[in-house]
Amino acid sequence: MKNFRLFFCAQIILVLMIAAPLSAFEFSEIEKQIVEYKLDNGLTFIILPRHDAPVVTFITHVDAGCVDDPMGSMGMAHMFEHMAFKGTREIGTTDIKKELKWIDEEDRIFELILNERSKGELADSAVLASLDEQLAAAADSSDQYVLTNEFGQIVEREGGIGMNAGTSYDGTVYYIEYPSNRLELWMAMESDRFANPVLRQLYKEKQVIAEERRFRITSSPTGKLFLNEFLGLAFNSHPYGKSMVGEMEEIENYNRPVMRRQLATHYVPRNMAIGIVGDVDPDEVIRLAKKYFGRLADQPKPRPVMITEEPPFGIRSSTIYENAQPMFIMGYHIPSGRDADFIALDALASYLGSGRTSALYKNLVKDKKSAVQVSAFTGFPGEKYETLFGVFCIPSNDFTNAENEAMVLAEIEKVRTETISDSDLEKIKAKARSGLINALASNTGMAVRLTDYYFLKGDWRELFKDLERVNALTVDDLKRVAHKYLDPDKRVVAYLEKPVEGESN
Amino acid sequence: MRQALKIIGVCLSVFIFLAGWTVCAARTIDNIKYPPLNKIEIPNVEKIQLDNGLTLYILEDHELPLVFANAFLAAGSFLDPSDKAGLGGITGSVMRTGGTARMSGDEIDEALEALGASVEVNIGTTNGTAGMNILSEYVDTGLEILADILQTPRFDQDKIDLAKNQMRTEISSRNDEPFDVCVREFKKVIYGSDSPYARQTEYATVNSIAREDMINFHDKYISPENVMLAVWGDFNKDEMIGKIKKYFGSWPAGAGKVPKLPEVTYEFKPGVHYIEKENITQSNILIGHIGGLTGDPDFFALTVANNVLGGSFGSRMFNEVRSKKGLAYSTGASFTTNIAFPGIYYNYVITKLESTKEAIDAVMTEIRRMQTDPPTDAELKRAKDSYLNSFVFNFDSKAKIINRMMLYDYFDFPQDFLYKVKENIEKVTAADVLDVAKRRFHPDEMHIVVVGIQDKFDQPLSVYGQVDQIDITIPSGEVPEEIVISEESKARGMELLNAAAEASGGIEAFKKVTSLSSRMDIGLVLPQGKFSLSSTNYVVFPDKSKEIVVTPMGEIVTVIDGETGWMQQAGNTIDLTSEQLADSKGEEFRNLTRIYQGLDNPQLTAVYVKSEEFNGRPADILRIMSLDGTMSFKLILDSETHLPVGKIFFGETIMGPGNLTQFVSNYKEISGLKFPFSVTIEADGVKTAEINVIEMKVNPQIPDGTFTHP
Repeated sequence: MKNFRLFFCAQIILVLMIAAPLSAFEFSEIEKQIVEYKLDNGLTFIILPRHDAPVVTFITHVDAGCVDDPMGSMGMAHMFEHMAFKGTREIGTTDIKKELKWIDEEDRIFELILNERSKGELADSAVLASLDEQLAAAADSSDQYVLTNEFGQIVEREGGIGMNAGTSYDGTVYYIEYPSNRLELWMAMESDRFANPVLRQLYKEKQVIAEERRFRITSSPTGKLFLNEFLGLAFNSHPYGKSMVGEMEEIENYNRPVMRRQLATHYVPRNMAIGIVGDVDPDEVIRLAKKYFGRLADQPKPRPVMITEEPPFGIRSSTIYENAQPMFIMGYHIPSGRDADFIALDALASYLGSGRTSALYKNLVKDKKSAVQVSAFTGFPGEKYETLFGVFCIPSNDFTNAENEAMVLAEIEKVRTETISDSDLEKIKAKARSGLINALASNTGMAVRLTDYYFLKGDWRELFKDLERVNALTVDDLKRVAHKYLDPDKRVVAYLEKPVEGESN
Repeated sequence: MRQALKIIGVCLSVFIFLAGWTVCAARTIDNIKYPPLNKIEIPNVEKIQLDNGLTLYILEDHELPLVFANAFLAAGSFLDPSDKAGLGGITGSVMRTGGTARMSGDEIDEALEALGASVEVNIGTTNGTAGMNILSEYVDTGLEILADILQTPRFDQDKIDLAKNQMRTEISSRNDEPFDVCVREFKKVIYGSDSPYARQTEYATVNSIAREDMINFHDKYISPENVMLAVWGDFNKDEMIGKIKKYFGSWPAGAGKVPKLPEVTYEFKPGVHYIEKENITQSNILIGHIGGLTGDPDFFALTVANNVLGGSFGSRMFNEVRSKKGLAYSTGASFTTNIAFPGIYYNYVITKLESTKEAIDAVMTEIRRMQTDPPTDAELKRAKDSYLNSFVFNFDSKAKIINRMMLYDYFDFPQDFLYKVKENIEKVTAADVLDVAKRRFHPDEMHIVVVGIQDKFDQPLSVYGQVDQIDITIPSGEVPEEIVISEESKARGMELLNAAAEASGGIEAFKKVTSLSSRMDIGLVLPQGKFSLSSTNYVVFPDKSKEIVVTPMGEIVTVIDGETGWMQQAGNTIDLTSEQLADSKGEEFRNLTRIYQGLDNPQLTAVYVKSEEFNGRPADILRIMSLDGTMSFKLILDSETHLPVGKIFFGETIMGPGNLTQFVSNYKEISGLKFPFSVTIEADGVKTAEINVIEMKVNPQIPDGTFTHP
């Protein structure tokens, strides 16, 4: 009795608190501090000064990702992301002329290798072996002029931290943080690596990429499940279904001419945006940006992928049998992150599977204890094109994938036919607001968000507008999109199951 | 002519020299002048000691409307008793989820998520943390919940079950990712598998953790004198001190400081350890030995050595193993140090199976080269500059500043330690790095741990010495009981078993039983609620049985016919798996009628274990074992009536493998034989089922087709 009364009071107090007007913090104050500047060549800078500490984050966002890879060279965007750390005509070499001579020789030999390989079964293995040797010799010759990893070494020596890059289906992002007085150094190096990339040590780096592929996909049960089976199943025609790292054979056939063509069309200023958040003066940033990035030649922005994935006509499923933790991932086709319905779908994912009070977590993990982990998401594998609404679940030891899937489907059926409570919707709104405020505390978090929105929705201001859109959502919006998109008969599911006894592989 | 050539030669070389020099100087980046770095404002953190011993660190910061708190808890899993490994971790987890005196765990979840806030508790190896992140307008709610969780956690059983469930799944999936396996086994090799710094949680240790253990762990170690609390963000300092006093001031002091961290003893010697794992294409390799302490005078030179060997983009390992040889995507090295106990010196490389030896050799070459080739000027400068130039990042957030201050205080580290590091790193020379590598790296006494498939290696691992193959099979969790098996204990066991048969009706009477049938009601207690089922059973001795269970979802029929078995549900027939058949064999083995029938010529061993109270009455405990030793269970007999009152065995429970206890009572006589009509089943001490027998028949009519495969 006593307990019940306490709970009742707690609820009333919470409702009152939510109803109270939100306090002084205004996002518009932050918006006013953000400076956007577009160079003549079309390269956009988005700058948020923040003088809390003398440090700054630089994000270079290139609107070219795995979806833009040429046929037969999937994974090229990711490969170039590696090559971007290999230096320039000035950085990473003791003699650029001699090095380039041998680099051309590497390419000449590799062209012969490709010609021979293209014969398939008829290829002469003795010829290939001899060409491989010649290629290795040419690579050794060019290597003698290489200052291996000098680009990264300079960054580290000058106090840069967190230098990294990531390639996704939608784009490629380069990260770095510096003490803020290294602004000009970053301008010089970053513009140089995209204006004058040398693509040195390419044939060695392919082996590194092959190891990365083994690491991420073929040696990892979750890698196989998510990237290979699930996405391959969900996307028949759109490149979201292709391998991000490329197939092994594609990696083996990567070559400089293809990569150079890809760079010439996709690493162009109109296809790039730079986010700078930290202890900088925007005027100084713009002055230096003109000086260093102004040299990149203006070229048209490449066209996006113009294939729309047709949602499935039925249920598609795939099962991997492996001696690992059983799990499954389920997806429904939904429109891209640019569509007006996306906000409601995202809120729905939050309601169903984000946090301890989400519907799926409460039902499967807390109450039935049939799962140890369950989450719902939108925007995998990307947001720029028609994408997926998904649920990922790890059953607990005594429950099966099938039992949990049935419970997930039942929970999804509920949101398609019934409206969620107002207090649940308020929770989603509160989470969105505090999430954005927390993001403001991180230079990197903000720089990433601003450039993401710039390409996804054409304007970084959409970041703040989206929060207003979340605040305007109604419970009927969620029910409507659930009903429209989460059709159980058109879902895609990939399972990881233990091998059946007696049929060991 | 010759002279002219010579001159040209000279000119040329001068030209080349100049050209080289010109190119360098012309590089854009070499001409950039850095303006002075804006000054770092190190904020003034105030430190206050509350009367109950709690230390408070407080810092105002109004940049964003947020308040953060982080409590440093001196309790860690190093305090776990070895048969309850995992206790600290689960205590932290259930402190957060299992409710407080004021609210249930679910109410806390709702309250926090309604505000977009979070409170999390984590108890790690050497210490724990309890953190809060909340919009400043709601700070009171957050502080109150944080304070309650630390002071009055109530450890609801339901959330303990949930946490144990999650721990069991973690155990069952711990061998999935090869790199995780490699790191775990490497740590066990270095610290010893029983060391608190490496030991792992097992089903058996999870099963043995009870709610009382968590309550005791909390009461003993989570007390104000063992907690430091940092609070920073958007508030008025004096008001905040008042709030902290309000929420934490009445927390009574506990039993004193937690014990010190255990020492590590280490003996340098080489070793080769191999773990086989199927379905992988790469070898995961860790090579190394014990590391050091952060307070060690070698720390500064080691920091530089790490950067040169494997801790940076320009490191020898990254250059040689990854970029030049293309052997790996992931490779690196670090001589790690901890403040409170020695870290590990590790080198790692992940390479395709076919280049396992090549990669190990490439790594070993770089380790040895640290002892022969001092860093070049460029390497030394880069290593030192990268530390010194990135020094500012130690101060780029309030969280880093206040948490570091707290950590240093806890371990009695000087507050200016970082500045000392900076000062000393500036002084490190190439000779210092060479010297420290010679003294602290032991390339001839390293452990090599490889997770891979040896049939595919370029060379067998035995080239590095005798290979110790590590079995990573996950132990089932059955705790072997120490019993004395002697002629005496066996004779006493058999005597008691015969007495039980006699009390139940006598061996001869049981021999006349060819079949049994029964109808019963089953009340199933599951985490999600109670379910009522009814069941009809047939047993035809020696080895046939049929069970028809009526559930809310329909009928489930299970049939065992000698060596085969099947299950029928909703019109589908599925053959039982070998595991399910084995489970049924166990059930058959434990059938008392069958045991009594065979007592003339026993195909089992009965060992007397001890006499102790069971379910409130004096009892004798026997262990019944099959002759080949593959099956066994504990049988409990009432000391006075000799009738069986319970069975304890290891088997599948709703929460994974565990100990099952059957309590049997309410004996009724059927055809002169006594059978229990009530059975209660507990899994790891939690009641999971209640069975009431409605009707029982001896040698009943068995319907035709009872054992016909559909």
